[in-house]
Amino acid sequence: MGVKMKTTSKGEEHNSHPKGEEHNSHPPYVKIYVGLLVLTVLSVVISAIVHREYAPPFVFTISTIKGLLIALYYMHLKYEGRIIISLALIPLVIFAIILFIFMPDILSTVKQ
Amino acid sequence: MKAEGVREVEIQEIQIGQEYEKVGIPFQKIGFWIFLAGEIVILGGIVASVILFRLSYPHWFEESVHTNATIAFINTLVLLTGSLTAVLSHQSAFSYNWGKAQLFLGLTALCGLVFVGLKFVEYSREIHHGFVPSRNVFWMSYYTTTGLHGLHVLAGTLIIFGVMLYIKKKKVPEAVENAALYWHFVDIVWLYIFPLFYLT
Amino acid sequence: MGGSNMSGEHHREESFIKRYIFSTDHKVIGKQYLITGIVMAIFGGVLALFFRINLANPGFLSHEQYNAFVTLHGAIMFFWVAMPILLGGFGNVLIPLMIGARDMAFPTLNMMSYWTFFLSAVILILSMFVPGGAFSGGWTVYPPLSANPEVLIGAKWGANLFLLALAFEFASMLMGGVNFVTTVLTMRVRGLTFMRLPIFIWMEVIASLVFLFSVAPLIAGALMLLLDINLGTHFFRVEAGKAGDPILWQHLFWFFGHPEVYVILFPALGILAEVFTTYARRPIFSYKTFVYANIVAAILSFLVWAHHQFVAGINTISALGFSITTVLISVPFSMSLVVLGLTLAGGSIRFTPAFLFGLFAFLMFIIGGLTGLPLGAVASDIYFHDTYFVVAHFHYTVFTIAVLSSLAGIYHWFPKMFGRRINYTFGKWHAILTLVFYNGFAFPAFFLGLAGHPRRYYSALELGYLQKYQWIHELMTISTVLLLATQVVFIFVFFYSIFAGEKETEPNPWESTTLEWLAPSPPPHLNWGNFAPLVERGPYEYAKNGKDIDFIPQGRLVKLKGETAEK
Repeated sequence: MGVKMKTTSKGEEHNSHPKGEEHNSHPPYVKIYVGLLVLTVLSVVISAIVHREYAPPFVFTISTIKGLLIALYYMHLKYEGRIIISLALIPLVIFAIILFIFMPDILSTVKQ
Repeated sequence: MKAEGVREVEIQEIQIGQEYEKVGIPFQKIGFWIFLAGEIVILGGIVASVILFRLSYPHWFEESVHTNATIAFINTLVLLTGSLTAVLSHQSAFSYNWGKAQLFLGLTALCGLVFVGLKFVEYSREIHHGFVPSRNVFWMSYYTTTGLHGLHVLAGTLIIFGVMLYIKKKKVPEAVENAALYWHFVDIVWLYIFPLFYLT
Repeated sequence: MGGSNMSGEHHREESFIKRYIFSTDHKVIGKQYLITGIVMAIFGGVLALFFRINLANPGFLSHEQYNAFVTLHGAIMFFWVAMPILLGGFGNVLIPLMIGARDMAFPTLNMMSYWTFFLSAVILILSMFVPGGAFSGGWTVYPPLSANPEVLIGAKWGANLFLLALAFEFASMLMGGVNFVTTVLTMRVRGLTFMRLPIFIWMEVIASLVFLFSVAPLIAGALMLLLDINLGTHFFRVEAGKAGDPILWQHLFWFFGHPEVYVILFPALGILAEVFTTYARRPIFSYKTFVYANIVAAILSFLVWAHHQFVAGINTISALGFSITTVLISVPFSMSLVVLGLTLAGGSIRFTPAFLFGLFAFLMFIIGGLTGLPLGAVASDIYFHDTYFVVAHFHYTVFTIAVLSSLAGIYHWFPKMFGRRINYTFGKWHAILTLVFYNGFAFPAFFLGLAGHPRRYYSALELGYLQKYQWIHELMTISTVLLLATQVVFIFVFFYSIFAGEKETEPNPWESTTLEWLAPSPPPHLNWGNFAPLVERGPYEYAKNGKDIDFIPQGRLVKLKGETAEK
């Protein structure tokens, strides 16, 4: 299997896909990974120190930072055009609509 | 564009491949992002509903201590590692290093299997202790959300595995990119599920 | 560009199965959708016939059958008739042709989309024959009733299969939507900029996007409902000690349910735009107004859903907000209708069957739109809610969209799709009779509603104050029978004309401008052979050079040269 991969990895397709060059300068993936790990540990530590009821603002902020790192760099949204960006953002608007416009009706009944 | 319309009256023949408007984005990528947008709203719908249930359920914190945060923490690391290998595979594919791309995809798929395996262990322990979906608002939300997410991890693993086999035959870097995008999306959702059910 | 085979050079000899059953050709898939939609329309129509007979003559059906038939009629007409015909059928056939592409961006996905749809139709029909009977909780599937098998007959396996069929249908339409949007974004032929797209294409893309974003939360909701039915969770069930929230389902459902009406309305408006410009020999009155108005309507459509829930106990302030957005959304739709109406002004109209259907759809939709306003304002909705007024209103909108506009489209593009024509005289009588019988059925329902007759009731005779309106039910039932009889004759003529209708050799029999009329009728596999269309102007160049040449096609065919890019 290893031999086979060698032959196919020689870059024969280089000519048919000339746009490969633009990806040569890429974000520091491994550094971002380390950052993500640190943030994960941080959120666990916070949840251990702070009482469960007061932890959500902190841990969800950390989640959002982590999500943004992945979306912007790993999913390359930082480098995308308008079409892709809007395809990523519209769902978030809908999420917000569901959350906030449903809220007064759903929160008015206390669940048991 | 109007000026172009006048100029093109002259054209009598056209080279094959030149007959379309230039777009600048591969069509596979647009198609996949449209699909992904739908997926974001599906999981977003579940998560939003669960947040609403959580906010109107006074006993959430008493129940959430029973989840296994250790396994979930390991699973978070597993998914993040999978994301790293997925993005490295993407990078390798676009620099036509197909062997490396396959290797990294394999590692990502492995992460997916580990995640699903650990999830399975977690579920069976919880059900053994009597925490079944119909128990209360917390547990039904927990099983529904993590269950749907787990299915997405499984689907992502299958997609990654399928693409790993596919690029042996066809060298389409967009396939690797799309598989990696799916993995990252599932990863981001987990980043919210982890604090939602395990930490707070 | 995209697709597995763009060269158009070689015509592979393919087996019957690959050509007509598991075909990846967008035209074959479109026709499959169209014909499946028509078959399901017969099914949904027969269900309607049965419960209409029951309303005129109570006791014809059992109560359970009546509820199940009403439920299935609603669901079938929306999801298995309107959507496959307007999106799956016309969308698949016309999108690649109108933008000059050779096929969809993902042909295999397209084939899977149809077969997923087919599977969903089979599951839906099977759901009528499971233990416990068909699901009978209304097409809105409102919990806690729908989630409670102990109370509602058919809420266990009937509901499971019903929801499963819906899930497959949604998946199928999502695959189609991904294909539509990607194809239009990336495979437009040279010169076809966004502002030169035929309006029908715009409408299909808008509809696909609205569907994509509105249906996804309902998929999440359907999952929760399935768990409620089968695993004993209580997202929506309200029982002692386990308070779920039925209002959440209503929100999730109508967040999809209302945009869904627009999902089928947009393509119908697109058909009307094509039909009106072609037969009135006029450019569309204002292309940009029409497109932008519909984009605004699409955005607003995500903010009007709760006007279905005014009496469900929702927050009064948000009810006020939804009342306002509902009135607001009538503005862009009025603008679209005004543009369509003004397109006819001063035209030299050719009264073909397609035009008649288009005109009737336009007029009936105005009635449907206007009667929506009292339902969108909180104060009047409290009176009209869940009465026959609602039934009349949505039949004036949805029947118009799904039947009249679709028939306009069928008569308009039939020669292109099948290379034959449907008899004109028959078509004109078909249009007129359909209009008459349809009004005979739908219009009296307004009076039933004004008299306070609740919808979905098994019989008016069981309520004292409604007994004197029984004759209206009888009138409506007679009209329904006649309406269905007309459509049955049409369906015979339709299938007859596919195989033995008069041959249409002229590729552009209506002297229309858009690209699909440049291709031969019916277009061959990969559509354009050794040519490619090249677009030079906007889509509606009618009545430009005085009386001599009253239309200029949007583009012309240019010969392709050079080696094929892909083998």
